[in-house]
Amino acid sequence: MQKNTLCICKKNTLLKKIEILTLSDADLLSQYRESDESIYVAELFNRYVPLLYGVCLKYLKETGKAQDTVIRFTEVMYNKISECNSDDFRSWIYQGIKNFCLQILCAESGREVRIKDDSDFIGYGDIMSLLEKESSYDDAKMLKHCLENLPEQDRICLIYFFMDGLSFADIVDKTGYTLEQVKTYIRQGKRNLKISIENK
Amino acid sequence: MNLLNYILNFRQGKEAHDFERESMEDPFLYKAIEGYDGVAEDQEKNIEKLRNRIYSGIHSKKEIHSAVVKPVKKESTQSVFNKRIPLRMWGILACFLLIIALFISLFLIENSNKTNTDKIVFSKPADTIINPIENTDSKTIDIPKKKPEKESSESNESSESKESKEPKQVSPAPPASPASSAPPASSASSDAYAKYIQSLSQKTASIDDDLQAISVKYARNSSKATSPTNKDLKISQAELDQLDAKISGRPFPSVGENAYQDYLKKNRKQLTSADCIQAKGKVVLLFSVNERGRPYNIKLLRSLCKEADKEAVRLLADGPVWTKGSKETRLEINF
Repeated sequence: MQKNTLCICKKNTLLKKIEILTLSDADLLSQYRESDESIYVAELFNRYVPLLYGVCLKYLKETGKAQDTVIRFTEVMYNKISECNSDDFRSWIYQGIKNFCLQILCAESGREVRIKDDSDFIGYGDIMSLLEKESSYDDAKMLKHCLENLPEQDRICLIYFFMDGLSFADIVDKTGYTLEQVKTYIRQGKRNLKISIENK
Repeated sequence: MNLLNYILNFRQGKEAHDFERESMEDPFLYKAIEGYDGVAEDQEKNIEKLRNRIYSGIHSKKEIHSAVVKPVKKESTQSVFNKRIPLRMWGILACFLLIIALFISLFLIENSNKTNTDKIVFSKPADTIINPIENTDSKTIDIPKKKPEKESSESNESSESKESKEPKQVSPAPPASPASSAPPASSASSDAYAKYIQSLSQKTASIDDDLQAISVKYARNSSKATSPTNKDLKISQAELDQLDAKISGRPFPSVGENAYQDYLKKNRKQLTSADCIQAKGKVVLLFSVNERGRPYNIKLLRSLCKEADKEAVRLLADGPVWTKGSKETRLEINF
């Protein structure tokens, strides 16, 4: 009899776990606020552990420090979970980890620390759309002319990535550039292409 | 594709491209990818550990901070410290070895300099040694020591060089004075050298007295008149010549140069042979003087004719005595 109840309990928890995995971030938050069961929050944080750990690695550059930071951050944010807006948990937790890492860096260096802005890689959505999607004859002609004015490596990387759909590793294999070089050429290419198109 | 698959090196193909394309519009994803690209180690196990700890920590509402941090910190610090120690130690060892090498090289250089100085043989002052002479002249004459030494040494050297050119044995040589009239320039034994130095010092003491006397006399003469008279000059010049001969070791006529020249003029016989009637010139003789003041070992340096040569030798041999000298001297007789 006791064995049967145990099996049933285990089965229920398993089903619940499977159910939790299918819920979205907003659903998990709302379930947690209704039931006050930590399992929902635990699942929510677990989904973002790879991202949180990656961001900590970028700022702190050491695995031990990054792991420690992630643990402490989840503890802090668990206590502040009520402040989070249900609709945008991702942005909330991203802003939180950025500020948390900044605080650690400031405490270590003893002075104000500025983090490099990566907006030159992120963005240029219109350029990327122009490169990826089929456009009118005039736009294609203009794009071709502007691409020809770019440096050779920028042009090659832009064409391979956006037009041919290759990944960074594929471009590295094909051109012989390093991963960092490929990212740099794509960044430069997007910026220069935008400037060239705006000047036309 | 999710981030975990991407960082596990599933980076080729369309899925990877789409993931990368998505990261270009998502800063959270982009920075996470950058973070994993910056670390060479495989992070899959670390991510799994983190997930378990967070799940258990949040679920049990326990503080896992201290339990996770301390061992991690120790490992990281230990690993960093272990990396640093060898580098520092190597740096310190390298500096220490450099310092030791410098000291050894300095020590070797000093030792080599010392051995070089020890090897230097004490050079015998043969050039500066005054030729030994016996001062038989009672006149006290005094001139500065250095100049006459130099002049006498130069004159002796010149006379020696001339003598070496054309020496001719004219008369049988009387018992020779010690052949080494010159100072023992390269004598082997230090005892002989010391004795020689002693004899020199005794002889130069007498010369010093002569030099002092003549300086006093010269001072008196100069103080009397602004321009010296011929008489004074003659006396001083003759005395200077005598002293020069004394110091240099060259024999000179005991009666004086002027008196000797007078003797030669009075006693010179006219040449009668056919060769020599019309001969005009001089005969130069080289000879040494023995202890009795008589010339010996007479050599003909310059010949005029047979009769003139014989006459010259006769005049020298029968003439007044000479002062004893350590060196050979020359006599020119005009015909």
